[in-house]
Amino acid sequence: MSTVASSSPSARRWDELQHTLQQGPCVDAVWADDTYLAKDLAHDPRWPQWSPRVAAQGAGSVLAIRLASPDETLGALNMYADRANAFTADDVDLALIYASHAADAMSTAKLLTGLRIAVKSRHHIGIAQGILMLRYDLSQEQAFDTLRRYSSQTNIKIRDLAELVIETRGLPDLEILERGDPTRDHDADLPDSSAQESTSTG
Amino acid sequence: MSSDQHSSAAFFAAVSKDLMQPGEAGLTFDLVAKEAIEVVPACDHCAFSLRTR
Repeated sequence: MSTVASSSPSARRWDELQHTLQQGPCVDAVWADDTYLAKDLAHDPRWPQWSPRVAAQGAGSVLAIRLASPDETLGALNMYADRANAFTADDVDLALIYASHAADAMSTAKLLTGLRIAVKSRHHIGIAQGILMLRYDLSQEQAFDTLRRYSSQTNIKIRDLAELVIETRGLPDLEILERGDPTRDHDADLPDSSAQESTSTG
Repeated sequence: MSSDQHSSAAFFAAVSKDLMQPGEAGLTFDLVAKEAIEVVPACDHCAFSLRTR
């Protein structure tokens, strides 16, 4: 788990300490029960390493709630109060309703972000295909097959390889890629045997 | 539905609309952590931890 957002440096620090120690209400809210309320952190025995340390830093109580979509557990929302016994039954109800709305918003945002990345990647792959088609006189399918083979041989994601092709206007040399230096003159490059093989299957 | 229930529903409809506004993961995470303090009176600090595996 990793802390990706916080309203204050203290909240981030208290969350991150749970990940370091592998104990605390946030960790348990994700892996055990859905909701944990610690009314008085200075006297809560459930997380013996974490609670005293955050209590000494000013955390009085905490409410941790699992956030989940229908498909997956997203993480945990951790609400801290400066004083002990701060969270009333009404606070807990409000927090649970809020968490439900937050999970919906996060799930939607994650999906939208993923779709944007996918659309952008597909666009770059299309440009890279066009470059390979022109440069090596390949069909659309052969150009994609070449990208796929290079990606497989070099263990570089196809979207990253497409960006390299766009940047260098050709197929990066496999040896150069292995050395981690994709910049070189590609004027003399020809499609390698994998591209030639793809011609026969295209 | 009572007027209290009506106002609660309207309140959370507005909260939900706010949270949907960014439409991008990082910005939404930030907003969720910040707005929790406005919504839950006892909450002084809030953090969100993402499950990564």
